[in-house]
Amino acid sequence: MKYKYLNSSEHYSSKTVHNIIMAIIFIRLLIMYLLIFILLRLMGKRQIGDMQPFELVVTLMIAQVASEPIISVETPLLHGFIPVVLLFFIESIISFFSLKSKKFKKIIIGSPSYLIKNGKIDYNQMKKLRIDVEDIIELIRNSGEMELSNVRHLILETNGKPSVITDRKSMPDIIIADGKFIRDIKGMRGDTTLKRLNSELRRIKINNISQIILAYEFDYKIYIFAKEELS
Amino acid sequence: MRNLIVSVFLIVFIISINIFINQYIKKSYDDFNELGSQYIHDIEEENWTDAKKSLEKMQKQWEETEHYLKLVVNHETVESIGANFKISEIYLKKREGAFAAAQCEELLHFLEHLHENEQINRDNIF
Repeated sequence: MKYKYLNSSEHYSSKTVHNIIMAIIFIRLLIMYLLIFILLRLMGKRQIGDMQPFELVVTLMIAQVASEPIISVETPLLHGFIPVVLLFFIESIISFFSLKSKKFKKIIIGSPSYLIKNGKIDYNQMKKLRIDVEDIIELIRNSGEMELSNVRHLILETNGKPSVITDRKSMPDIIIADGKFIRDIKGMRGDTTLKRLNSELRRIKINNISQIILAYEFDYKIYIFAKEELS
Repeated sequence: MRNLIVSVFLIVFIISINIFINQYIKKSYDDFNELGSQYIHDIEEENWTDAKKSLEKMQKQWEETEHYLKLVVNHETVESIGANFKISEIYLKKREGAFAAAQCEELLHFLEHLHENEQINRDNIF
């Protein structure tokens, strides 16, 4: 079987045509691979299991839109290039505003859910998350804890992973994160915590909370991490 | 912040390409429309020599345009326009005026369709 291209007087055999198409697919694949590799490196180092919902959506969509121009030689490569770059742009915008605004982050990523709080199972949260008792027991088992009564808190994190806090492990109470007070925890704590925080801040000569990246209380002790540029 | 700068730069680059492509397609369509009208006029006048010259002009311009269009438009669409030129050429050779004119109209319709496809409007979005 012979193929004749309208803009060319040459004739190509079907084998040659097949080889050309294979070569085109190979080159296109390399280009798209490099593009996606660079963009994913720029996006960060999260593993698939640690992805937030919006990151998972971006990754799934990138896989879909990138494959179309690779396998279909009739489609211009730009038809894959443009949506990939746009998805990268959307991901960057969401990440940027999530870092800038806690409210925005809560809307996009959500907040952790307590399935067990202070040793009590929250039935409303279970219904909301469509999780039954067997799932809870499985989550606890997966964490290495066998005794349910030992579990003080079971938290389903925003990335879907469970965190189990047992009676043997106490949980740090975050006071300041990213230079801002964590309001609800601040409200829960007594004046003594704030007094101790202030005296600790004076001791390490920090007069503005925007200089603090993280401050928490653990075992009645205040820990402060200031923003520092590592040389 | 670095990601945002890189992505904004890429988006600006893509928007610039898009604006350039839109203008290029619009200009190509206007040029072909003008040449096509002349070609149909020549056929109607049964002026075969001038009709042939008009068609050759269109073909020459198409060869230049085709390479850029293939970067942004589905190749099947671009190739169907190229095939249309070949059919027009054969009709002209056979002096089948009505068919040659109809083929040219179809060609212009394809190009108009191409131009419309690159517009941001409700039909294209949904």
